[in-house]
Amino acid sequence: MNENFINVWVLNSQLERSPYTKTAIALRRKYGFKPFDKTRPLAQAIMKGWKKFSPADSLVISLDLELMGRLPVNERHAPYNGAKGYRLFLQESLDGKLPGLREDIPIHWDTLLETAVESGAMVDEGLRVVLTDEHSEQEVLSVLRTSETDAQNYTIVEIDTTAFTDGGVLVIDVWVGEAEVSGSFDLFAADTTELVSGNALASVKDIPTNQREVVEYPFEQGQVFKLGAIGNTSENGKINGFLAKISVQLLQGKVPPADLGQSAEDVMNTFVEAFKNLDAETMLSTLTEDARETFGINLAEDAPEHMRAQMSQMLSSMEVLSSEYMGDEFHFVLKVPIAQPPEASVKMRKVEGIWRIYDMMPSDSD
Amino acid sequence: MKTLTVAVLMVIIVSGQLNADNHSAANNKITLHLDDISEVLVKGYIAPVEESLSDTFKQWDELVNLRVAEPEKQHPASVFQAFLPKNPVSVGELWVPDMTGIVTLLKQLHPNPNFFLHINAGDSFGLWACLRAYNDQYADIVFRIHAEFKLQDGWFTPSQFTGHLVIDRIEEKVASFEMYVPKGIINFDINWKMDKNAPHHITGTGFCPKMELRAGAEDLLERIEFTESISQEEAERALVLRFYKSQEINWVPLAEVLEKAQAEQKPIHVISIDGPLTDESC
Repeated sequence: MNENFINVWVLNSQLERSPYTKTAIALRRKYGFKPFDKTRPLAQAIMKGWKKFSPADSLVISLDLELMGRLPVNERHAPYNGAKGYRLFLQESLDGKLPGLREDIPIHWDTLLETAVESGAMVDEGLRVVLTDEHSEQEVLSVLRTSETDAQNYTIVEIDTTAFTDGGVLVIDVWVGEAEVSGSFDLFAADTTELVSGNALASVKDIPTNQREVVEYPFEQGQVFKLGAIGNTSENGKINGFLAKISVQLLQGKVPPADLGQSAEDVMNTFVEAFKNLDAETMLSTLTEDARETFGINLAEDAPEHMRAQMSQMLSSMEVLSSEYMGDEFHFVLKVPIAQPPEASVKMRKVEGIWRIYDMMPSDSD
Repeated sequence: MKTLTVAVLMVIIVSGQLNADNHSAANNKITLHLDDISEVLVKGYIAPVEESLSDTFKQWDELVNLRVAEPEKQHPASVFQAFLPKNPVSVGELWVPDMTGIVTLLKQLHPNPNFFLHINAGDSFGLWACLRAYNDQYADIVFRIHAEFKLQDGWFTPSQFTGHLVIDRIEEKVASFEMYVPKGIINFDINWKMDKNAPHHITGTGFCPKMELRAGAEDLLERIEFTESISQEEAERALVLRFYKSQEINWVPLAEVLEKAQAEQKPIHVISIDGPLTDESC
């Protein structure tokens, strides 16, 4: 970013974007703060770039103060999510693709995507991913088409999971592109000869434009699968893009085999001890998959050792205040030193026969 | 990431490693001590924030009436030991102060301080100190602390607590101390559970003209001539880099952007946002 841009952040209040009251503005001025002159050309360009009702925007503006790209904070979904997505936004801005500014320009997706396939920019044949312990997640970007005949017209992605000899769960997170065609995805065994939806091991149907869904399929032994992607519409010959993030989650690999026989109390104790020791990896292993995605755990792994020691020392007095079974669940309340509120409520349930934490909330005594 | 609900529980985030040699104006390391017997009178103050609030938050009595918990308090010098490095340090060197001592000072402002910020974007947590300068008699420590206060119905999160601790090296006493929330267009974030049964807090920001703890001579720093030092700006820069990776980006002041863009022939990347990227006020 330093190499390619002049970077600036500006407070909305500096340009009076936020609904500040007169007294609040007067108070700030009393302490020497002045709003930026909104008549200046750069201010005008920034204000022109604001998306209506958006609380914050990223903008790229050219030297002649024309907008080159806009990314409202609440629209950072695929493909513009995360650090990678932000880089894409910046790159597309530099490439003149006007990200976030093309809303009023009709896009001819059929032509655009077919051209991408013909040029080799996107591939729709011979797609194959091989998943291993080291590379347990891969992404495939391709296209899906509506059926041109009565027969199915799948785009096939071959998924090789043979490295996972102890099995696992195949997880396929699919996002359907922005063209008008919705998409369906069927997972087949490698030896399935008649690729029709009825023969699928697992399916997701009719994912609307610009939406995502997840296909999950547990398997006992590594094998080769075929993922079929197809468009859904009565109109033949339509096309849409899709992005599939394909991964294998271990059942008995990352999770110690002993976990299979662990009681809820065992898992609770493991979690608490790991917390005290700032052991994020072990803590994560006690969470459900959803919880892992929902709750970020970063226990100062990069911090100086003595700081971690200080943390750990403070957390050493952490204790479980109460625990009880609630139907099929197990709940416990944790006292976390120094934290406010000092208590946290943690909930567990069985997933695939293993007790896992699925929710954690600070306990508000009020 | 649902950091809002879980941050209190577990998010402990700092970045970077202790950098023993960074910014070292000289390799001369000094050891800092405080005696165990002296006491320090600390004065605290929180200015009313109501004027800076939106109409909604003006209904939050607890916030509107937020005042310092103890306007004056005698603290044992051992409390300030929390700011001192355990090992000899040179100018520009950074270390992590001891939380347990600092929490005592924060409690003079409000009874419920919290280091485990309830909203954590991944780089919010932490506290760092830096030896900015010294001479034969004095040493100036600059620090930056991220902490917030748990109110009955929500949270009050200042942008940061910063300040100076000046140690009299000969007497081994606190010569001067100030810890304050810096002024800014906004300098605190608020989260209020307006309705106790509501699933979420409502959020807002505001400006507190003065939130501070002070002890000793206020103008002492201006009168000291240090023999080894880095500038205040250098110290602040070193500290902020311990928190925010985004500060590795060269952020240019708004007023200078256009000229710089023209000079370097680069497009402008703008983030238009409610709160600063350099603190916790939003």
